[in-house]
Amino acid sequence: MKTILQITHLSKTYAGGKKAVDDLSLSVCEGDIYGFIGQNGAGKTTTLRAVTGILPFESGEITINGMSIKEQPVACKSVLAYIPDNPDLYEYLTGIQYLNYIGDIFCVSQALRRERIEKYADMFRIKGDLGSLIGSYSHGMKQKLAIIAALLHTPKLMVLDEPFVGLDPEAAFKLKQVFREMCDEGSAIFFSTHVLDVAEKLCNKIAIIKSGKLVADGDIDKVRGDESLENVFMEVLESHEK
Amino acid sequence: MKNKWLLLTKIQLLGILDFNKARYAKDSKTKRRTVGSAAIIAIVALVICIYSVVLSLGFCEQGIGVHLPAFLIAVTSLITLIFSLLQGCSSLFAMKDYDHVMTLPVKKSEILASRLLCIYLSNLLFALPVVIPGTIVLFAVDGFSLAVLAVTLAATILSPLLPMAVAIALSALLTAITAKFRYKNVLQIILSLILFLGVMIASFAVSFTTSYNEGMDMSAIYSVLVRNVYLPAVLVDMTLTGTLWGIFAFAGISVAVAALFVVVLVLCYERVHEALTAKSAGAKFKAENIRTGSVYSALIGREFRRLFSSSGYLLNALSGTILLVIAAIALIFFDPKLLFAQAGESVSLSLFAYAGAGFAFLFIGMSNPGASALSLEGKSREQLFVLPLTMRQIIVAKTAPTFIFNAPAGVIFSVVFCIRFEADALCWIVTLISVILFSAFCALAGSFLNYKFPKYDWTNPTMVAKNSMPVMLCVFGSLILGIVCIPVGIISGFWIYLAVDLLSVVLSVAILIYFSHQKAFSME
Repeated sequence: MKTILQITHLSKTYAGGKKAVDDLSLSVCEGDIYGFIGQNGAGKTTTLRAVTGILPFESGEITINGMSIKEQPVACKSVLAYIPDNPDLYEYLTGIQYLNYIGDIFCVSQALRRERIEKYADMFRIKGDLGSLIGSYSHGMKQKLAIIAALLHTPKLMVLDEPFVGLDPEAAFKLKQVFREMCDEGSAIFFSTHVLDVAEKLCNKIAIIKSGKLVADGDIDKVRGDESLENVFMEVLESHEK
Repeated sequence: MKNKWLLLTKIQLLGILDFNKARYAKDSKTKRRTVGSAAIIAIVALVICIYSVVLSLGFCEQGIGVHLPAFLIAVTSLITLIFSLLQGCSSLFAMKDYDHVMTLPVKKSEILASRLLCIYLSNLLFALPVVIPGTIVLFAVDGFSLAVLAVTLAATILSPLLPMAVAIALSALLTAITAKFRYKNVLQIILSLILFLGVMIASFAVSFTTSYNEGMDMSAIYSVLVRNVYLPAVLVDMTLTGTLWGIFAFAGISVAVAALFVVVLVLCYERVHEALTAKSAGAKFKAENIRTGSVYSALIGREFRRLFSSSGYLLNALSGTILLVIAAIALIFFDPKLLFAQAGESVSLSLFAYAGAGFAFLFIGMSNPGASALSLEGKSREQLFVLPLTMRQIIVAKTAPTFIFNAPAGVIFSVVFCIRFEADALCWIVTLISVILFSAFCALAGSFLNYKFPKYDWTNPTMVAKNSMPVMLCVFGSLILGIVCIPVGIISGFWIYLAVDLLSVVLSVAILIYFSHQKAFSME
């Protein structure tokens, strides 16, 4: 399996001295749905933001599809899609204007753009609202629009921060389906979540992070053993507190 | 669109101008707001045009029209410098869509180019109503010249580059210096104030200390003025007076500094952004931090903390207050008698004392954090609107910082002005009461206008604190009122201020009654 995302000895210290991520290494391969779990403030979002090139980091290396995010940021970003936990979209644009803008940035052809927008807008039941201003959307609708925008250029790696928050049950179900389809076609998904049930059912790999350090990672069956992911998560946290 | 930076610029401009929102909005309120904003911008541009025409006619009448383009370039460049300093780094960094654009496959240089182009265009848009009418007047009086047109055009297009780059670089430097300190916001504000005051004091000092040799003609005097206001404009003046290479040097310096700025910025963009947005969570909780207070103290305290949380917001919101204090200090050292003595006139100073309140009005309107406080709630406004508060409580809290800053600054200025201009007892009373009442009215009117014309979807707080319609209405409304009151006050004495005071009281009471009868805030 080809490695899509490789994080090697990543460390990130914020101004003020807080070490948010400490010597973190993990790899996400083609076909992986990789769950990233941890408490609030554990360093999940910092890691995701470093992966996507938003946040500079002082040591370590991140490669996407074999390219360094530091050395070749534009090439990395062209195969990447990121959906933050609270997508802050341009409220003064209409949904379709936003999708066209993303399509232009990623150079998606007219035919592909039309096909994908129609497919995913139908799937997430947002087609009728694409002509409206984003400012009039609910949180869930903005989340759906951000997902459609992320899928426009069929990314090799999709990075998501709490993707299921705010989605209705049907949309959450469809999103999981999309994840699986993408992975079948050779892409990879790396997402953070607090919903352990989702991670347990959806992911083939997970990583648990505590105070910036990776405390467990690998195939979900190996990490979980015979217990529930919830029990394992609590045990891992408690053992690292001692 | 092949050029991604152009695409990014287009998206940003759509946000600034609000026309897209008006076009696709389903409610007529949004459309009306946009039309209103456009009308205000048109009025502001018209006022600037008229001012430029009057100034230019004066130049041409004195027979020094040849220096006019350089003077106009100097004025617009100085204003760009001051406004860019006030805006600080927020025009480039700490934008709300930073995360979004940084994950796109676009080079950092393209992102920066798009941001800088937007800042450049807004500065150029300000320069055009100054330069175009002035140049038309020049050609109408002195005759058309293709060479002058070419030089003026080139200088106008290039003029925002240098002051913009210098101001943003200075602001970024301040941010970098303060980034590692725990109280970096406070430090940034103090250093920004020192920088801002430095520029203002240097400008005042130059104006007061410029020595004009006896026998110097008007042409030479204006050359000295141009040199003192903005040195690079001398290069434009050189070309217009016969030394061809001046404009090329002006272009070279402007482009070189801007290019150097972009190169340096590309190298440190993420670091500066991180320094600006990183939040320290290191402060430990103490039991003494739990305090009780009234609803108003809680709301007003929050408004002050919001005001002091961003150096850009603070400087934009309090620029007039700062100018009032600077003007008061300058008046202590500047004896108005000398001015009349130099002119060989023997005039009673007390005649001019009634201009004091008019001058104060000019500055008070410039400082109105209340005119943007509601818009700055942005997406978090629902947290405020769901609290069990009346609208009057919210509005009074939003109004309070404006009044608390403006009234004392206005009083300080008025006291110094009245002493310096030997005001009589009636003038003292009228000036002080007018300044206090106008401060209260201005604060309430700002909040009222902000309630009527809110802008909650901004990508950087300066867009609201500096450029929103309520702020512009307050600034230019007070400007016009001040300009009217100064001469009318000198001629008619206290009558004009009595009218302003009565109007201020009636309108303030009307605004308070209006808010007492409003049930709830609209989230729209």
